[in-house]
Amino acid sequence: MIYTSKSIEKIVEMFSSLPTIGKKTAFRLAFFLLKQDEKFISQFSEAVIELKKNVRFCSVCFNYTESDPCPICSSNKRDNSVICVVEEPNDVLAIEKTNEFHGFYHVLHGSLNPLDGITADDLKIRELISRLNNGVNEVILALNPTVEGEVTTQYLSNIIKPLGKKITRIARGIPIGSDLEYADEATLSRALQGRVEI
Amino acid sequence: MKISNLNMENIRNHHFTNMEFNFGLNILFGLNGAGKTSILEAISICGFTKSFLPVGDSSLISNGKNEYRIIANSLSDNDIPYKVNINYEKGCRKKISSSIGDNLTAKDIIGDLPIVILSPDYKSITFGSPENRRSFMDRLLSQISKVYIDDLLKFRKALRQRNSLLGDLNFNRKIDKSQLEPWTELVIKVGKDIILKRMKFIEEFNDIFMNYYKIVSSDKEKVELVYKPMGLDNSDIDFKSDNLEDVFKSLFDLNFNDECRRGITLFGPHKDDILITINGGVAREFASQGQHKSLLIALKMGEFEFLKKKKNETPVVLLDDIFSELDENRISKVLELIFDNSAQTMITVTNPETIKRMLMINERSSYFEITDGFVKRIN
Repeated sequence: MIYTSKSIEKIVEMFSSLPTIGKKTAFRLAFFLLKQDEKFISQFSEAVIELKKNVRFCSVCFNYTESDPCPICSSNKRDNSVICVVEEPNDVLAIEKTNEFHGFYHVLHGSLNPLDGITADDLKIRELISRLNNGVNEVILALNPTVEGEVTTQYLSNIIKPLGKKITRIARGIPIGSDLEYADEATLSRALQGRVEI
Repeated sequence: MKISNLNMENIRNHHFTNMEFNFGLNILFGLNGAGKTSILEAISICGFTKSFLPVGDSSLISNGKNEYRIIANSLSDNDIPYKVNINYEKGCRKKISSSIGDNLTAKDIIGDLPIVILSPDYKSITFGSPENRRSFMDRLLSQISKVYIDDLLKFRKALRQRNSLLGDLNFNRKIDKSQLEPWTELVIKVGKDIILKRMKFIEEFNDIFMNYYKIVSSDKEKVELVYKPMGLDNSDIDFKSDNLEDVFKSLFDLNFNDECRRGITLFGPHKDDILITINGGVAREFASQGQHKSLLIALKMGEFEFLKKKKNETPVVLLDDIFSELDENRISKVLELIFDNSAQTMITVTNPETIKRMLMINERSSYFEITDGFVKRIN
């Protein structure tokens, strides 16, 4: 095929390099932008540039932030005795949305994955350990229920346990509002293994 | 389970094939390369999400095409309809949907359409390396329990990761050994579950297997399956459920340096073997050609009975080119089992007369002539 414009070709390539965006969507986005006025375009491109310029990692929890430490870490309304450990910044958003957790977070930026060359040194584990001072009573491990997440959970609990802190992991099992009969056998069997006394 | 209708597009030389199956015996005949086995492969994909032959999905697609599509409609023993739809495009993930839902993975549908396959390729189960016997067992247990599939997938992933880390440890001594620990723990935990499930299976399966061997062979030999966890002898190490984890752990502790040097995990269910013995001797070394055939058929008939019992559902039977390997006497035993259970069967033959003369008049059977990917129903 022949592109009639080098600029369109370039922007389509840029868009399709983004996650979840294929060539088709990239074209739609490009043609949408072409129809917009100058003002929108400059706002749009400014937003992209500012994103990269202003956003950095919080030096305490390693979530994305514009002010260091981030609003969560610098808040004095939160419970500083609990730290919730997650894999990615997205996970902080997910847990914050629940409005049920009022402690602090720590973002590892991944999970142990030797096949991809990710070892303990590549994650923010040392930084987590240095945060576990006297004020912290409990560490909640809220990693993904994948093989890698599970192993990272085990690894963290192995190194945190000697420090005498309470370690918990989030529960796994049947989603709220669904019927038992629709749960797949593997999930149901894990839920049975992780049953709790009432 | 009975497959009422199979619709396949771009599978090998079938560009567009739609077949209405008989609920009894379906005889697919035609010359070599006509596309008989491809139909069985398509059914296998509906059950296992892959062909029973060792080929990749892209080599199943017809020449010059980019994707294949298979739709099967079936009815359970209780007449509940089940539909499965599989779509594979080169370079993409397979799209699987069924009566359960859309966007499914292999794990979700394996076992929903229970199938037992007998193909000349399966000779290697009794002849070949332990891997073949493990996959016979895995294929059967996966169809029965989704938890087993889950364990198996988890174990494979943990194994790959652990091996990779072992390799890294060998090259880069600076890496902290404590990082290996959680992987070892996971391999032990999941590996133990798999070994216990396999152990229980062999215990239960042995009687069924012995019984069918007696039926198939007129000889008086005593056959038995002996499970050897991690390829080790039961007499060397006591594999009991409560101490299995400790056994596992001490093996890893003892062989840490060896594992590091070779960069592979030396112990676990991926090293399991099942010995097939005849009168106490190992079949792989002692059995005659005829005994091998009887053993394979006894295993497959046992698979049928075990699957039917556990799933409470009659499996569909696929017989691929069995006349090339088996004599009429052995085939008639297989057919007897099928007719006694009124299981739906698809069988491929080059000459329809060979099977015709083995059937009684009143058996439900349909003939399909296959030529270059075209199917013609004869009656």
